[in-house]
Amino acid sequence: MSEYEIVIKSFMPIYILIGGSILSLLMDWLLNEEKNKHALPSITLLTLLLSAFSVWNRPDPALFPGNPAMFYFGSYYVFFALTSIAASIIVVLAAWKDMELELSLGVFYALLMLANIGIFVIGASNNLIPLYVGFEVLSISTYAMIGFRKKSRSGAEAAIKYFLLGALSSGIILFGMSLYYGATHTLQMNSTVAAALVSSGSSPNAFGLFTMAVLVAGVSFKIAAVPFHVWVPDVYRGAPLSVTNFLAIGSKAGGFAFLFKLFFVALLTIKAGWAPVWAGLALLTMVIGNLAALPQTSVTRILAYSSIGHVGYILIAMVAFADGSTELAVVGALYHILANVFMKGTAFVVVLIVVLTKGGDTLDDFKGLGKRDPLVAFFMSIALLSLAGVPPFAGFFGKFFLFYAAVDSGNMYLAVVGIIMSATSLFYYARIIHVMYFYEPVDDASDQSQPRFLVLLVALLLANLALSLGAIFYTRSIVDFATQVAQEFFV
Amino acid sequence: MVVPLEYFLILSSALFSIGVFGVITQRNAVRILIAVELIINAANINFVAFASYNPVGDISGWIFALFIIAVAAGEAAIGLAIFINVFRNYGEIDVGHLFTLREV
Amino acid sequence: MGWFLEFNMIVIIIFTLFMAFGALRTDKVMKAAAYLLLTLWGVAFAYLFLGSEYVFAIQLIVYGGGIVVLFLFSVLLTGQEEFQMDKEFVWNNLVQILIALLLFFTLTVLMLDVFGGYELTGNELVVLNETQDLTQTLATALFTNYNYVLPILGILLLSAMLGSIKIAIREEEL
Repeated sequence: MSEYEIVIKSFMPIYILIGGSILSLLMDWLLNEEKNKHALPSITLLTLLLSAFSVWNRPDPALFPGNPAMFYFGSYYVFFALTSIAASIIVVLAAWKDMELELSLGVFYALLMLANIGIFVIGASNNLIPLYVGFEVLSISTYAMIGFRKKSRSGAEAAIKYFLLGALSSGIILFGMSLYYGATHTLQMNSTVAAALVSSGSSPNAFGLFTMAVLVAGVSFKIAAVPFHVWVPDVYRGAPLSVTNFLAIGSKAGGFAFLFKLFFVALLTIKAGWAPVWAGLALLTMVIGNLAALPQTSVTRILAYSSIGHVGYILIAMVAFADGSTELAVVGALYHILANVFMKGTAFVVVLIVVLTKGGDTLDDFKGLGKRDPLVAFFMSIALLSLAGVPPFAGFFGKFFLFYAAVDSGNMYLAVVGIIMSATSLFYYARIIHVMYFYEPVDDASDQSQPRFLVLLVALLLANLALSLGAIFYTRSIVDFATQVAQEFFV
Repeated sequence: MVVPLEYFLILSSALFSIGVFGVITQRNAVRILIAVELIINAANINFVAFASYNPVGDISGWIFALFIIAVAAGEAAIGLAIFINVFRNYGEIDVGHLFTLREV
Repeated sequence: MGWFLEFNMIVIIIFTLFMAFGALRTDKVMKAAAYLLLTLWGVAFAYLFLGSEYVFAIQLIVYGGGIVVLFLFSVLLTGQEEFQMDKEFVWNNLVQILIALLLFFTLTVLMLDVFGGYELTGNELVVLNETQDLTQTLATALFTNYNYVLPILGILLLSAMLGSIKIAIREEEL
């Protein structure tokens, strides 16, 4: 294969997504709105599937040209690319109904596809420049998607909040990166010792600690770890629900891809410095996220706080990685991110269905859902049980791997707090299930949920079960994959 | 004849501090965005300075500075569009007053 | 010659910082944008002192020309002329001022500790500036090593353009 062939084949998923977004913009211009309502989501789905196919058929990543190579299309990239495509497919199927009344829908689907490119680039980059640019592609597309429903006051407010915090966090991340560049003299990310960050042995000096603190603060905004989480409930509530779904599953996976690249590769030399910081943030995030969810009455806000709690569980992997059990930490983090896509995706789709029929997302609107629409209530219960970590579902195995990694690396307290907080979370999930099954419907308007939604929910349930079956029967290959990913970190 | 590196580092740390100060004190969205631009410029000065004083002559800091300027332009464009939309909905862009979501 | 350059640099630093502070303290929105423009010019001259003419030019054109004009447009479109100012600014924000000062001193001390007293090795770009065409070096690096990153910047600008047009346009008039 010639050099150009390798480059073109490696970038093919990105080219396909660009082509799809330009096509959807053209269709927005050429066809009328009635046709576009169904044509645009179909084109988007097709593009995403094609792109997933070409992610799978990538050439050997080591052959990518460049000295040093800017990109490495390895297993890490494949995992995050496929996760973001799965998340986007859920979002497209939800937005099909949710966004159908909006003007210039082509722009919405184009932005969704461009946001995926951001996650692809984050996953593949070997250098801080593409890492940052990819991160900004993702952020800028999401800013526009949140503000897409222009007439809605809450949407505008969510957009301005998310934008200001996002711009601030990317400025802070840039400053941290500039300090890192000054100390290491290179923007290439690798795990060789950065002399200016380390004082003696492996402990970081004051400058290394400061660089790390700046980067931790910047990234915490994006993934919504606790001292920087206040925007989450407001933005999730204000944005259009299908975009909220993307924020909770797709954009979150992108944020974690960025976090892991930055800390597991670029800052690996000072892991003695960041491990305790992330341990503290993980504890705070688990405790505050889950406790703050208890008194909420809006289901969107409950799910927003629960997703903060889940960030805390995933942050356990950072500590376990630093303290030696690398493979287990990677297994836990990646498995839980993927499981999160299916669980939280289901939950937000059900919230969307209820909002479309009842007009609100409070617990009152969920009353009697078990009688009104038994199938939807059933899927919601499964998703909530899975989020709480009840055994046969994927959420349980994700937490199991994470807590096992914590115990294996000698951080028992993280696992203990995690288990206690999972038990606490059962309260508010059970509250939703209780409301759905043990109350009479407020009015007897029977919903007929869209067949498209039912297909999506069934697919999500099957994906959830397949993931947990995979954890039981194919543990070996999951661990092998994670070992492969972990080896890519230590280039 | 070159100016020592220290001058640029002091300039960048002072700009960064002013930017952070602006973000935590200001309530107007346009002004917060101005403060964020100051932070980005501080990072940019660092990148250019560390590239110019790189003992191995690595030019990638200058390239990152170019990329950052382009990204900042895109970010400012979308941010100001969002501000205009907020202004159409609320009649003001004072972040301190936008609290409707808290009540629901 | 050396003291003259250093003197100029000190003037630029003081100018830039005053303008940056003015952008945050003036009560007119238009003035804030003008102060921001002057800050960006000061930063651009710092790039010139670092031997990077190309980044200097881009800073003037894109930042000074593009971003400040964007700010002015948003000021015109939102019809705001004055910020609501805080009369007792210093006393009400004492904690924030202390935080900023603390941040400044920590950062300066740390950076000067690590990078202070830097000895030139002769390979620095700022030294090579007088003997080599560094703009050509930059262009070569940009189009050999970073040539696969540039298109991604194009994607970013596409998504920014799409998003800002969609959000800022008045659709009822279409």
